[in-house]
Amino acid sequence: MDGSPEYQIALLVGIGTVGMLLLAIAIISFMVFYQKKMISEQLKRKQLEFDHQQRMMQAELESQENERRRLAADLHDSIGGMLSAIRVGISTISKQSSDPTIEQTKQMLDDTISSVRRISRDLMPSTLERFGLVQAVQEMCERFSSTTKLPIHFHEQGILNGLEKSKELMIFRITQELINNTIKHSQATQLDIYIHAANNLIIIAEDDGVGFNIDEQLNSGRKGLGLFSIQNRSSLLGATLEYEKERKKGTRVTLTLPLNNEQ
Amino acid sequence: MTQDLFFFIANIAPCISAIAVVICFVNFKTKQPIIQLLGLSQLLYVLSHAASLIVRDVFHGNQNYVYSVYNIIELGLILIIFRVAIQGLNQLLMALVFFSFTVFAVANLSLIQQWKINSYSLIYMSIVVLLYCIYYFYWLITELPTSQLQRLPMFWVTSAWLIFYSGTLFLFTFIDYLVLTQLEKVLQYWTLHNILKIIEALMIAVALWMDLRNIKSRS
Repeated sequence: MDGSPEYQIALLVGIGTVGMLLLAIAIISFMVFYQKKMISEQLKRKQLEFDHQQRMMQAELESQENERRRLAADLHDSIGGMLSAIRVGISTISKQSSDPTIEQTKQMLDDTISSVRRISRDLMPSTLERFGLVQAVQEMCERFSSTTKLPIHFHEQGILNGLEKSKELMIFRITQELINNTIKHSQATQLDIYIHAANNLIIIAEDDGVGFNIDEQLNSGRKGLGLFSIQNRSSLLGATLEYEKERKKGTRVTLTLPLNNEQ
Repeated sequence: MTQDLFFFIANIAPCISAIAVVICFVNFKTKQPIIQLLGLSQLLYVLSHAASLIVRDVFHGNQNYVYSVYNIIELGLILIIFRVAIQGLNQLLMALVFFSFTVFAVANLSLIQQWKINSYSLIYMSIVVLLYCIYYFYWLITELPTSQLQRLPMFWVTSAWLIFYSGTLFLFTFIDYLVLTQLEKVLQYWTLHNILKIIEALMIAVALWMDLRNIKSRS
């Protein structure tokens, strides 16, 4: 029986069938696992590329800020110092002479010294390094309000502690850019800046101007450097940036940064 | 294995396929071409099974003639489904394969094996389908058309054909010998074919369910 051809054929059919079925199942299993692996590799690669882009952006921004710091220091120390010395000299001359030209020159020099200080402060606000983000933003609001005649109201809630200096600087730049955009484009009659610190740091810039459609701006290909820089910085911070849509009047921009481990 | 049990098992796959046909033909025009062709293929299977029963019970004729014709049309449909699923597939080669199979099957039916089970045609068909199934999987790996393979209906259809035709290849190869030497056991051997046919029908039903899920998630 065991050696009979019929038995052998039956055995061959059985083994062959089982073998072929196992092969088919192996092919299908290989397909599924290989495809999952390929997808996972693709995702990893995309993540690496994204991380690399983020690091490149970070490095570029740091380089920008270092350059601004250097320029601010040079303006304040070198040019500012020389202008102050020149002013002292002109003050001395004006005491000895009653020539009206000297008074005019003194006034122009005073204006120039103010401009240099303003440019230096805009480049690198010393208030930010000495007193922190909230004070720096408040001071910026007061300064812009007095120079541009646009009423800018500053509102603060909660206490912000322990945020890294580099993040404070980025948030400051975002707020600065938002205020600049409002002044340049919105035709607003007032601007409100809110800083709320609790579990998240929330910064809101709200104006009553003409408003704009963020989707149109982003899709038009004419996205200005301002919007680009705001989005870059938000992305690097890990913050979310929301532009309130379907608003009847004006613009409201909200920046939300989680403060999990910062405070 | 009694005859009643054998016929009971043999009729399960056509019943599952009949349900699949109904699912396919609901909102037929809105379905993807692959699903439409699959519906036609399942309809063809159900009709051929019904025809074979009529030939056997009413006309007391040989069912093998019905199945031989069915196999020719079935291979044509399978090749068209692969043509739709795989972009860039060589149409000329496909046409040549189908034409050569048709000529061989007709010659086999009329001259070689005639009224007996046309196992030579079945072996030819199995090898062709297996090769196309493997090629389709290779194409899936290289193209990666989707991140969720299990939601692709064609993945389930190809798996069904791979399992069925690989499982029955050895059976088709030795069926002639088995009929000559172990006729009393042929029903047992052919039950394997019927069980694999049930598995094929179930996996095709899963493919149709995936298609319905995809339509639902898109809407």
